[in-house]
Amino acid sequence: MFRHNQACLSVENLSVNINTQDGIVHPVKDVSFAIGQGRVLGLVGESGSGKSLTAKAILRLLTQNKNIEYNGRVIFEGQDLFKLSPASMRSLRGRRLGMVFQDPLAALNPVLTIGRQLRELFTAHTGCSGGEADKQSFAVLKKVGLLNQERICRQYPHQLSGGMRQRVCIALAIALKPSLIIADEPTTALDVTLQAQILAELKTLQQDYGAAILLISHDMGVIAELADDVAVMRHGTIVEYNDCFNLFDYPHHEYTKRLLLASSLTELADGARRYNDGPATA
Amino acid sequence: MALLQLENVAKHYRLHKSWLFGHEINRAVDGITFSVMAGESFGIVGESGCGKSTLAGLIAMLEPVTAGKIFFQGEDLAVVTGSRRRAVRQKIQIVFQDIYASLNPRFSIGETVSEPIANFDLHKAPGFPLQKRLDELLDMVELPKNMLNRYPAELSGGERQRVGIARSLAANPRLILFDEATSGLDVTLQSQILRLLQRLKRELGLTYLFITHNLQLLPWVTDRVGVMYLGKLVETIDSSELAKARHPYTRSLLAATPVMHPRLRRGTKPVAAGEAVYSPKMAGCRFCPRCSEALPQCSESEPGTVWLGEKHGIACHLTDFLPENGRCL
Amino acid sequence: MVERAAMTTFWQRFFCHRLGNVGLVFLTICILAAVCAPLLTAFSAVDTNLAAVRQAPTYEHWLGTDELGRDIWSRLVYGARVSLLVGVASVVLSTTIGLGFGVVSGYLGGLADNILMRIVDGLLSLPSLVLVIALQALGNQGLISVVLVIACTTWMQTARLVRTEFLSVKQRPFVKAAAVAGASDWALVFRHTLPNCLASVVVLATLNVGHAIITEAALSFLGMGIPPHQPSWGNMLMGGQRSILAGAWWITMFPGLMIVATVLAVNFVGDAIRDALDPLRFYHGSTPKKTTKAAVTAGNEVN
Repeated sequence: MFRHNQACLSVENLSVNINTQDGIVHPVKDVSFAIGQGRVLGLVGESGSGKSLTAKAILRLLTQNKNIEYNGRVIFEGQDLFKLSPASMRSLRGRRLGMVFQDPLAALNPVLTIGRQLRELFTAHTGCSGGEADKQSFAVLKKVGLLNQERICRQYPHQLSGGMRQRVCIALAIALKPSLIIADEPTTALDVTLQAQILAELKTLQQDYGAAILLISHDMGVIAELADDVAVMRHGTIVEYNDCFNLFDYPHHEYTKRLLLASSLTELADGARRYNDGPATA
Repeated sequence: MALLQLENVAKHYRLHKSWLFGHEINRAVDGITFSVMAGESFGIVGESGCGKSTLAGLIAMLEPVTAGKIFFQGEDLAVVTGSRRRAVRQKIQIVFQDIYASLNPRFSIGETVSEPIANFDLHKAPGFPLQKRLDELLDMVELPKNMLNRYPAELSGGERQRVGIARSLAANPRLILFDEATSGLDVTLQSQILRLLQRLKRELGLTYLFITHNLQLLPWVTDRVGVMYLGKLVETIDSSELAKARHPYTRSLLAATPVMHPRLRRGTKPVAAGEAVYSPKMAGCRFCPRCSEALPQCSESEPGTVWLGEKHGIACHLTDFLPENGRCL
Repeated sequence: MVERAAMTTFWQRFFCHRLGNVGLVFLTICILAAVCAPLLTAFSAVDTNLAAVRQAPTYEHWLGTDELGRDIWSRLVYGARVSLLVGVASVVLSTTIGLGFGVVSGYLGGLADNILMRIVDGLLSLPSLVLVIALQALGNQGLISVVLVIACTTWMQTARLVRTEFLSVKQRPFVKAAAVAGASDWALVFRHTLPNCLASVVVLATLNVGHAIITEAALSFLGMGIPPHQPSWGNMLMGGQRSILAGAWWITMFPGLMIVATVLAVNFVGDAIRDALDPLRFYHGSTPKKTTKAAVTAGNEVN
């Protein structure tokens, strides 16, 4: 399957504790997984399972206040992310760690043009000139399948359609050729045909760049399409962790079985059989 | 006679485009024709922007049609007025997608569910046991009785959706429209709710119009399905025969549906390119810009609906090449 | 029909708000003091006493005297009557007018909505102080006139806000669901849409109370409000300005503090009302300090 010493990202015993009015809550409890170089890990779970919070904890995007506490280690390319200063973490994000979020409209700055946002990414991290940054922006937009790069660079996020926005977000994530991309429900807000296109795009990019992907989704279909390994989360813990094919063929945990059954909708077969006996004619 | 019949229904919106008096017409729904038999479950599937929610609003009498007619139990919905209109409204109910806003946050569950009963004067029937009816409704949607005093903010998404279903049942309808009713729910919840809907339909003899963007659900919850694209109905087909769909858009939807096992993975080349973009100046078939099998006449004239067999209708110029006996393309 | 349990829970939610309780207590004390003014004051608020001009606070004059020898404590207590009356009455009146206008505009929609809103925009474009002075000059002086004039110049903001909120709430699924469930137009507006627009209106109203008190002060200062010998916090503030240079800080300090404290108290009460009106906010918390368990498990923002 994978070995920890080859891992691009290795999460060990990650826990997030939040101090709330009702006592201490543990949305993420003792989560451990590893993503090998160039592999895709699918983190699947329903709402409230803590999968998004895990991603945010790894990226240290949760506000640092006295009510939120993290435990555990997150080793990325040999560094423990929890021990880094906020400044080094910031420089790591974008350069070595790419992020794609669910809502492209919220992830893009609405008052800056696309070209400006891409250029800032390049100039901030690599310190190259504006012209050079623009050239690289066009190249990366072409890579995610957007034509008319010049026109797109001049436009604002709200002027683009949903699919194009999500592609721009992916472009921003891969622009600096990161070794790990964290995609949190990247296709949930998109239509099915768009979803197929974006997933195909991610697959191509992964093969071309050799980046590892942490793919978070509630949709088993998306996981089946893209993931090499799968971790199933429920109530903050990982209940099953296996290679994708093995998981779908031989699920062990009851919850995994339930998820697979519900996704394939075969539970509805009983009711449907009586349906297809035909409608009553008026 | 069909319970619900739509003939060339259209809904156009005027958008103000240029700076002074210019406007554009958004043909959200254009020329939809289909009928639903009593006791049937008819699905409408399409992606966002295809007009299916607008269609639901038209059938539920929330907005008037711009053109065409909608007949419910033989009556033209545009023409009924007064008490007759109320009576028709009672028979057509709707369940919305649960974003946090399908229930009035300031009403308790009991008030929300009893509202249709009060509005349609159902409680005025002699000896009508209101409390018993409320308990019965909650029971039907598998919610505990103590939920009557709670508020939507205290409920989970699945529970709120059940309340929405209970509200629609409270009016004793004949037809229930489901506007993406399970779209926001987790997959295990979705399965439960759909099983509930199957059971209710069987026990109460309801007719469903099920609107969704998820093709996978269709064979399990619908008998027939209509595929919508940018305001037009491009194909009507029996749900169990969905794999034999002919229209390029339906085929691309089927191809785009996520696989159920990694073994069935597709290659990296997607099937339908581009996105659904509506332009009012479009002549011809609306799917033409994205269609991989487009012919010259596709961009010139809109295809009419051709019926291959009793339940399979398709609006596509490719049917011009069918041999007379209607066998496969 | 089913008992409306909303009212009891509204008050329960209201009294949960700590700062709101503090504000409410403060306002109640002020109102009681204003009503029982004769019982609390030894000196007249109006009679001058040129022998005791600009005295610092002493045992006899608790808060000192002003430039005409009048006891400040008495003037403060009697002034509460005017300021509170002006503040509350004008805001109640302007909010009512604004609500009515906004609801009608939002309900009618289309051309009528356009016309009504352009009227509002036109009125808003007139500088408010000039308008206030002009109206007051035309009418007869006096307290009622002040209340009416302030109300007539502040309803426009509320109208715009209500109209915007109304249009947005009208689109929400539960309103459409109520329409399908057979609700009449009247019920749709007053039972479903309007109650959900009130939160921001309440906030604006509380801000307007402070604005009203200050406007009354400005009017009185210009000689167009209440007669100068009658106390109100605003005109005490304005009248004492010259005395600051003479070193008599107490003449402006106390009325100033009362204005600040009242405005704060009204804001707190407004916050409490707003939170109590919106069950969602109540359960998921409006203060970002401590999230509730429900919020975390619902996946709401931890940030």
